[in-house]
Amino acid sequence: MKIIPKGSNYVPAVSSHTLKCQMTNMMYNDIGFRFFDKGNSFFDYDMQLINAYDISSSEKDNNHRSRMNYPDDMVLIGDSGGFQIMMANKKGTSINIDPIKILRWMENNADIGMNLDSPPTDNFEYSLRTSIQNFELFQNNRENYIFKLYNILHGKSYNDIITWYSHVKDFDFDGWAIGIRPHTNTYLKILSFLYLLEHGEESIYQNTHFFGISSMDNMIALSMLSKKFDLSLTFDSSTWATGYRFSDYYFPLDVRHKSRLGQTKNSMKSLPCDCPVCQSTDIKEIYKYDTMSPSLISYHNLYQFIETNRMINALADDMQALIQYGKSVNENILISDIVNILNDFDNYNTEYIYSKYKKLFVPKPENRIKPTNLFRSW
Amino acid sequence: MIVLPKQATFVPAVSTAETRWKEKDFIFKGKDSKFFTPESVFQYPYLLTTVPYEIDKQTPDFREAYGYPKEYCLIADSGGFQIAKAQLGGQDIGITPLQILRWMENNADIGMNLDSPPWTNFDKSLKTSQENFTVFQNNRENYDFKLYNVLHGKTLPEMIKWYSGVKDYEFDGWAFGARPADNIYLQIIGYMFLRENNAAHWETNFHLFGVSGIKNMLVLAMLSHEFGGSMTFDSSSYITGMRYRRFYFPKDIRYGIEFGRDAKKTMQSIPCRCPVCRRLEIDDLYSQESPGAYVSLLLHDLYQYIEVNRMINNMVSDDIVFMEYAKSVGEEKTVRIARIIIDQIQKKGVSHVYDNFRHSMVLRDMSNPGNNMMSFISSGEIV
Repeated sequence: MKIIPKGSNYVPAVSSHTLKCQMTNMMYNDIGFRFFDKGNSFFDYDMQLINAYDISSSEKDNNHRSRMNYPDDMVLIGDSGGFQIMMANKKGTSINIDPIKILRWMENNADIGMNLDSPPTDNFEYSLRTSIQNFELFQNNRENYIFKLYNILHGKSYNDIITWYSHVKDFDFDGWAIGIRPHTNTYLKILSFLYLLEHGEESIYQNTHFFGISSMDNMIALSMLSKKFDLSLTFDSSTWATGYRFSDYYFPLDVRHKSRLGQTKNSMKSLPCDCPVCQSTDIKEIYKYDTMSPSLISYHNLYQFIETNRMINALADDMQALIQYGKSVNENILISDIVNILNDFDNYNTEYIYSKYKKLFVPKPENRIKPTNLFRSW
Repeated sequence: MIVLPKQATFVPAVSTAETRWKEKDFIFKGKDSKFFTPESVFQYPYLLTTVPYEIDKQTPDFREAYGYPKEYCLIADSGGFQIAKAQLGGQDIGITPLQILRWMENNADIGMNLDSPPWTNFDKSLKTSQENFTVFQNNRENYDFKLYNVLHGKTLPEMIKWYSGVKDYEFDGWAFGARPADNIYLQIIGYMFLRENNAAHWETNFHLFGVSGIKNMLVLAMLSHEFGGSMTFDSSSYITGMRYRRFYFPKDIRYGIEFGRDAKKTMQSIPCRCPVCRRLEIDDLYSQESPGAYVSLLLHDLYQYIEVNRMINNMVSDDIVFMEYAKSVGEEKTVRIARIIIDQIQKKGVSHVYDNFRHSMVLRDMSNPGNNMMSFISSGEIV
């Protein structure tokens, strides 16, 4: 049974494209993309999240782990694919779902797996009902109890959290995954965790996962949360992989600002970064925009996400240092708010916090920074 | 003879007694405390030293004394700033201009003329500088080594006056001492003024004294890219790592934390993976006794200055990427204004633009030149 390291651990969600690179052992200048294969990739990392629904649909057997030759100490998290199934349903795409097949795949391959949820978008009650049906199926058909299966908490408001929790709390699972939406609502995620803590969910100290987030404010908030309660938590996102789709290249140690290289002038003489990927890459390779460049850009991005989170976790050991960092990235107000919320939780409950900081829990619009063409013609 | 790359190159100024890198036998965790030997934790081929310090320390052969490689660029500042500072304090450093010239000729690839910065009496400073420049011009023995003329002036009229007094000297490039250091717009004016006057070697050999802020780096990169120029700029700001135990955040030369006596010592690991930090444990940085800790902080900070400037120079050739980066560090406005100034100068000349932006370029008490500039632009004063 894998022990998650203390702190707030970023887990890259990898797509089928990345899996293909890893599976075929794609190389660039004799350097591989299997970051879990120590010493043989641009950099080493020992956590990965993959979509069990996708993989179990495309692979004939359940031997993914051995086929990929993942090392024993690598933490593989299996997402059951509830979000993707929900998105497909919304688009009206017909898909065959076999929940037991997904469960078996996770049991055979993953160290941690998520229950098959139906994330609430339009119809909260329907999503909750469907999720409960799937959770029952998973609970009653488990064969592997070393593998950790996480319960799931959803909601867009405090009341949603209370309702959802009251219906799923009695399942016998090993941890919690939190899928509060929108992903920009950092404070509601923190509140949902505190709510679980308040209700005696002891497993969350060692086994908590936050779905689909990796922004700067989330990284900072989760690092503070993990320090406060001495947690081992994980969170995932595939944002780094926008290098594949859009050639988005994040600036060094910056997970907010990027340049969409395909829409630039392609006139840089060398890469403006000293990460292990860029140090090994000729910018001409990037500007080719062929099969290799999206992977190189994405792995550069992934390194920035990993390192930024590592830096934040290191700084979070010293609140003064974190505050200074917060100033540098304009997140000092967030830090101050989180400090106040966590301090209040020492003396009060989540209901009090929700009431006191109500404004913070209102979903804010997505704050994506989009490349601009404003200055294209200086 | 050294040929500088066509970019804005940051040159770390090393001269004070605090820099332990000069100690030959200093080894920390298997590496020396320098940044230019094979035994250093990283190598950087540029360095600026101040000649009176070296003469005072009796270092006739700098490269031999410190192991500075022959192929690395050594820039020597004649020490006009330091001499003037000493004179203000009533001290005489007891070194002649000729001694300074000889030291530079024997050691450096590039050297600055012995100027007298015009802090109090402009005319007197110009006169003293001319006397020194004459000594330097008439006593040169080494013409492979590049000797830069020096331009001063807090206003365009001062620049014009100074320039007319020194332009006929036969030197190999120009150094400019714009003050205050954060007035990047005056720095643009100085550079563009030399260009407009076709000053000798302005495009291949230009140095800006004592600057290294992110605004400076952005604007200098823009200038060198725009005109294909080779320029250098120096600063010793990275030394705050040693002096105040300051640790800049990775890829950031503005914000950081301090590992001084008051530090809480609660961090478990170093929040950086630069070549310096990769070799250290967090306790190394918290140590108040180990000289290695001081040197490591200095080298970490120096690495950030070098890398941020390298990053900026790489991005400047793609204006879309460059602007995205400028936005990411909150300097979009700086870049926009600099762009407008450079364009306008090319179209209408230095004087026209200077007249429009005069107030923002000159006065220190205009605490936010950027905002002042924007008000000019938005009010249509710049046309």
